[in-house]
Amino acid sequence: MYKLRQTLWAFAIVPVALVWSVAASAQSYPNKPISLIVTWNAGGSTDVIARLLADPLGKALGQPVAVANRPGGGGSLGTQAALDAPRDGYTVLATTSGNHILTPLKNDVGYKFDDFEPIGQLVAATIILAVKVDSPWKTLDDLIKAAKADPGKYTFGAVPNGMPNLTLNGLAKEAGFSVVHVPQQGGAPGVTALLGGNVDMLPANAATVAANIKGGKLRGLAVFRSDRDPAFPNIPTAQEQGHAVFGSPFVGLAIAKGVPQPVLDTLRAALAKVANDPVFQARALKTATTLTYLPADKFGMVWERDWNNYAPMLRK
Amino acid sequence: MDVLLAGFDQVANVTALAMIVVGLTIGIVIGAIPGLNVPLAVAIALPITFNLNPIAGLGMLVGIYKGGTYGGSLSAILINVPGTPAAAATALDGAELTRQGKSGKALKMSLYASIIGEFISDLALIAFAIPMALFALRIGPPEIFSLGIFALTLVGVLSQGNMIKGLIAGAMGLFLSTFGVDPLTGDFRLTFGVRKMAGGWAFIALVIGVFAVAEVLSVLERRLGQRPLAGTVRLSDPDHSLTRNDWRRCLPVIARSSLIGVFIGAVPGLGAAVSAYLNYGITRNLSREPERFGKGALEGVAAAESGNNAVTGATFVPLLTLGIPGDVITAIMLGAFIVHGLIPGPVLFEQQGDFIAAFFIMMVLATFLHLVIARAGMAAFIQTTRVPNSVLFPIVITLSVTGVFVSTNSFFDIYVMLGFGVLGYLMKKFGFPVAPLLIGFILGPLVEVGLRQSMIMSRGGLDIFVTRPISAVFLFLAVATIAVVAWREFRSKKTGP
Repeated sequence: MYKLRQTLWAFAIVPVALVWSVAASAQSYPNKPISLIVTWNAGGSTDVIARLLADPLGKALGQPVAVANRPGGGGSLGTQAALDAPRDGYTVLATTSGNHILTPLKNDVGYKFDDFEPIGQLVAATIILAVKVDSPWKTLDDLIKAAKADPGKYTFGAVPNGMPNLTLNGLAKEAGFSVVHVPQQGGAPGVTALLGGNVDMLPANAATVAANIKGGKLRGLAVFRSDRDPAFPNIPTAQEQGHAVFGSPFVGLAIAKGVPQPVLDTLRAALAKVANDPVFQARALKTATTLTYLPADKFGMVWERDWNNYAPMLRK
Repeated sequence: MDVLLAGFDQVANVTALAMIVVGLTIGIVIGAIPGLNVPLAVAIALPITFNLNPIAGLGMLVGIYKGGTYGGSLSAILINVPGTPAAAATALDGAELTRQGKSGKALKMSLYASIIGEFISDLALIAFAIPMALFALRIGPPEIFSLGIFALTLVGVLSQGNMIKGLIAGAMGLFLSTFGVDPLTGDFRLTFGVRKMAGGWAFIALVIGVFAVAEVLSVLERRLGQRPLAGTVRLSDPDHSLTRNDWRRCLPVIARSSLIGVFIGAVPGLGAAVSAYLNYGITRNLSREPERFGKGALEGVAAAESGNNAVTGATFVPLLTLGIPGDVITAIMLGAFIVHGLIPGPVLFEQQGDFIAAFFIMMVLATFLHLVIARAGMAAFIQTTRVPNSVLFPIVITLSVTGVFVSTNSFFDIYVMLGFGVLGYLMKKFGFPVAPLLIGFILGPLVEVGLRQSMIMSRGGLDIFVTRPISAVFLFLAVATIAVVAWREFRSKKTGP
């Protein structure tokens, strides 16, 4: 009899306890450290911004945020790891155009951009088309004229199918010239190739060429945004020079779909708070990264826009 | 001179000195532990430096870098498990010296060769940064390809007496390096539809597998036991001391290897492991008694260690003068510069003279402190030769598994490591040398990318490799190496058994 009563009690208590604990854990999210997956190598531009973010974001959330680099496969390994993790809000993805849009369009990676919920965009990087400072090309027009006169003579360096590569392809198509792609293994090798005279031009993220443009070794001919970059006010946009070509790689936070709504709200609020904090902004500015914070809904629209833009170029 | 004095001010304070010492200590220990690697330690330490003054923060990272590059040799010599890929060349002769009861000799030579290499590298950085950077820029894809081919011929040097198996191992390494993402098109290749294969074989899993796990398996087969020596090991015993004769043999080797290491370090994209193997191979090839190598030749240790540590100063040449990080570690350090608003490159180098001077002084100071700390720690490290294998190797396995996981955040790579462990064990058992496999794996991407980029640049013409003078020199060296090796093989067949 005693046993039966105990069993009955247990049946009654367990569901209550379960509900209680689920409710409690949702309320008290986060109650353990959060892992922030970076899909590129330590030391890259995404990694630096993620590591800068980790500390203030952890303070805003009340739990430490630890960066975990999971590079490889064009960023697909880390992205997949973020999808494989339990959907409890403790694994966040520092996502970029590369791993989020370009790699899944080009390769069979088993995920799509909308397998994720946006948390917010942090950076929309500027792409600069740079040449060596002793190059005869002073403007975008000079370059285009030369390239049109000698199709296939000039070369450019870029990571294969990265945003700078695709942006230059877009420009070549729009302006009707042809240049030869010498694929590079990263931003820094691209700068080496340009400085060493092994390629004639380099479309690159602003951060990779900033030091050499400011140091007078490279010249920026155009940026591919709708307005000039405040960090490089002397470099005109491609649009000003008559070529409406745009390209802007993003970095932001995302999380696998299926995470409870309160968790999403918490993360979005925390990111907004950090992104609007002047101390964090000043720190990011020092890394030559201008923050372009966008809230979740707008970030989601960027995903969709880029996905549709680049699908025709990359899908086979 | 004023600039140097101003720079000295930034370095000569307690925080900066303490951070260099902390960095060196962490670096040496991390380097010595198989699985934990230097880039990882630098990445973890990076956020700490955000809150220090730039020189103190960079001092810690430089300490980890220098200490870690050297630390790998400790485990390579003492337990035949290289703590870092760059130390794998050190193990070839270092571990053999330990087996002969001369571990102290190997440890001392490894340290002194490392320090001399570092010092020469620091001086080269300070005195010739700009000309070195200009030279490094002349190393384009054709030069990288030809250098890679020259380095590959050294597989032949390493395989003398065991040529077929050595070449098979080297080819295996080249083949393994082709898995993952095609470096020029971004397509996935050789993944067999397995998405986890998209990253190729993780380098760290391969290194730890074929060296650490394989060594554990071989020791298991020999039934543990055997090793522990009685009594404390004293570094002052004659067997553990360097003689005048040792120095006479090794000093020229150290000088040459340091200079080559400085060159390798200044060129972006090569790195310490390439330098270690290149120098080991060159030294063996130039030696009058190449047959002593692999059987406990102290010059082998000296070449590998001065070669890999001579990279550590020169890698800052492209970073400081051009803003280009030449390897993973300097890439992470770039982060430490920029959070302080210091963007390395021409502007920083030409306009912030006192900061650059402080950085140079810090580098030299770190080299000196490295000598002191490592020499003091040696007496402790050498005692691992007294730890019974039954205690030591379970620890090695645990550290290997944790190390691979911490580095890659991936369970898949732990299985990869175990798989390579079995491969490495079988290779040892059937007499295949493991080093060529690693060399092939490291050089594969350099050669592939160099070749394909060159072919695009020349629109398909092979002449680009001989019309560019530096490339032609490397190809000539490659041909010469092959000729020497072939001649030696031929002669030993004739006079041999």
